[in-house]
Amino acid sequence: MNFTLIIQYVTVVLREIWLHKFLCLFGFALVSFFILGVGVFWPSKFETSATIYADNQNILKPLLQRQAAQSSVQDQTKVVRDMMHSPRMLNKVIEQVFDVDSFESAEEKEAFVNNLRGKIKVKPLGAGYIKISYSDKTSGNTYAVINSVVDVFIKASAEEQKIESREAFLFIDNQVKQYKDQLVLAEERLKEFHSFNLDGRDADVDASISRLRGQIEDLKISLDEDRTMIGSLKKQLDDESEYSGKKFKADVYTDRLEKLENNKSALLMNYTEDYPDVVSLTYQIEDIKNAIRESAEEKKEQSGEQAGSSGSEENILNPLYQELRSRLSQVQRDLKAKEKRLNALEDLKTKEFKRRKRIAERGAEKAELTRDYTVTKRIYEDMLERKEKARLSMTLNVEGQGVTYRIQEPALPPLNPIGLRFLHFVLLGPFLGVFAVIGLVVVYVLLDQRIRFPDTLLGLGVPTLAVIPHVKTPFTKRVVRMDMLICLSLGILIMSAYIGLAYASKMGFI
Amino acid sequence: MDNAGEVKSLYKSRNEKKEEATASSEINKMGEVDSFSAEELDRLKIISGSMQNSKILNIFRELRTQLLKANKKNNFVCLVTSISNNGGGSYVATNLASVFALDKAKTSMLIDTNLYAPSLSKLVIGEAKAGITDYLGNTSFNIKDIVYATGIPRLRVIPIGSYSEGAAEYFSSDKMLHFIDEIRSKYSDRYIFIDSPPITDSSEARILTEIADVVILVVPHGRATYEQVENAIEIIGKDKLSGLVYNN
Repeated sequence: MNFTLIIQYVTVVLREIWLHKFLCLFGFALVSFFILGVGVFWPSKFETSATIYADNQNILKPLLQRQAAQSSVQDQTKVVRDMMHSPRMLNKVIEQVFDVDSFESAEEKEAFVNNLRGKIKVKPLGAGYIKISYSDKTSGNTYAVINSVVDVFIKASAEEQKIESREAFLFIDNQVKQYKDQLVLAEERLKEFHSFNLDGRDADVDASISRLRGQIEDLKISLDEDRTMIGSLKKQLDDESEYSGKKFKADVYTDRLEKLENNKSALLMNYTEDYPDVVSLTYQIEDIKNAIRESAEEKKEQSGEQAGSSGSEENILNPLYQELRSRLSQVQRDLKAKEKRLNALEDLKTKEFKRRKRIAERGAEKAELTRDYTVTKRIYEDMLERKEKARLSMTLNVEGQGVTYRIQEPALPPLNPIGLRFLHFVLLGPFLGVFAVIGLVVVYVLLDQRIRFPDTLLGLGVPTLAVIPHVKTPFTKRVVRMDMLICLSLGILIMSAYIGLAYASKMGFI
Repeated sequence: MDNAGEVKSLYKSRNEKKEEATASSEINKMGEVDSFSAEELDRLKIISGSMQNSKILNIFRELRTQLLKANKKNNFVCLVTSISNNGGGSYVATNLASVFALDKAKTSMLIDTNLYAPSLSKLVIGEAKAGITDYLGNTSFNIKDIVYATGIPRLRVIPIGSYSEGAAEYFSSDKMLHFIDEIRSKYSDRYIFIDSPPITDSSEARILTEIADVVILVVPHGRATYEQVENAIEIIGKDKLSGLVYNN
């Protein structure tokens, strides 16, 4: 639809309005007064709202944290709505606000409750805040009902809280008792176990075994040492004669002989046999050799005599021999003692091994008992603590301190009605009148089959010779002016009547 | 319409004056008697060469040109009819006659045949005593007796007259044919315009189209449906119908 066409249509519509001006004025008046009438009888509507804060935490939650599975977080708004819409609550509200006797039948009351339910709106505001709004025909009723609704709801929920927390306390108390019995039983068992188990701990046994082992090792080394010592002492004793005697002289002679022979052979290198020094040496050697021979004979005699009589004045006892003998016997004595000790230690070790086996066997039993005891004790202590918390919550609820709902924003008595008011209708009337008239004329022009645009004639196959515009002569202009004046006066008359009527209605004259 | 009475009273006073001044010039009825003033023309919605609203004047001039182009003959009989009552047929006929009369080489004649709403007598200066029905229904009348001068130069008018019973029969009579032939052939520069009743609801208009050379159909704003116009075109016949004039 282009601009020219719109202009054409607007012109045509305005012309039609002008042609039917009195009818249009009448229609305008009719619609305006009708709207005014609707406004007079339109019921006013008051609305008010209160905001409550819902503490999202269930009373059981802090008490049973981690330990018991908690029911999933419910939609708080839904809970509140369900509670507020419940017949029990609504009946209480009706008792508080309205006259109960005014209902003739149960059906009537039921219908009233349903109506009330429809008008109580519960909306979530987020973060635990819930808005409750109510609308009614009068300000006083609206205020009374919303206050009653919120009041009844909060009281009922507090009551429920009390019951809930009491039940929670009783439940936990019961649990505590059960755990206490279990703990006592576990303790008893552990005590019994300890009284029959004398083997001591694993670690003790291990320590004593390792200690024994060390001792045995040391003893074995010392035994070896002793045996070696005995061998070497025996060998030394064999070498050493019991008595010391000429043997010493002979040894001295032999040594001298060797020296003299060495000297002689050294001199013989430079000198002949007849060199005086060599001759002297040869004599000396002869002498020594004789001396050695003599001493050897002496020795033979001495040994024959000794076999006959144990002591002779010439035979002196060998001190080294004596010493060796006494050492040997001492070492042999020690060896015997140590062997005995080794045997004793080995016995002990075997016993310790046996003990350790026993301890290992009983260890599993002990671990089970201990575990039972520890776990039960931990839960019991925890429960005990929680029981105290539950007692506290219960006390708080009894005193009305622990409620989970509280009024965040109390309701205010509504001063002005909401929605369409009388003034709106008064203002709306003339506008709707104008629009209704224009709309009807537009519809009339659109639906009417009669030709209003010269362009329509183009389809007939006959040329359009001329389009004669509407002729305005001074005379017609005067007529138009006159008509205009009449219309204007009529319009003013209608509007005056309209405003007068509206004012009268507002002031309550009608 | 309601301004007719006013217009009439205007003439009355004028006529009285005239009777005093030019009582002796009655024989000069056929001549140029007097001209309407611009104010009077405005009131009668008649165009003139000196009018301020040249737009309408030009529209009628254009209409004249088109009619002349379509009819090469010297003069013709043009019937102007409308789809419905008050459709502006008389207005178009009067002004068409006027615009032809503006040309000093041409004269025009306007015949009122609109039995139901005759309107042309207001153009006559002085009293229109007899009209076409009188002529057709009564042998005692001459053509001279029914042709009147108007306030517009070179425009003559034949009013409806007073003898309206059985008019349809008069219009279809031989006398009517003779009459038209006579006034056409008398002056070759005379163009004849017949103001006819609406085509759709009168038999007279149908009869009159037989006599006319060309027909102009006036379509009034917001009064005729497309079907009605189609119907009217069919009644007139496309060969005779010169074209449509849309009247706002």
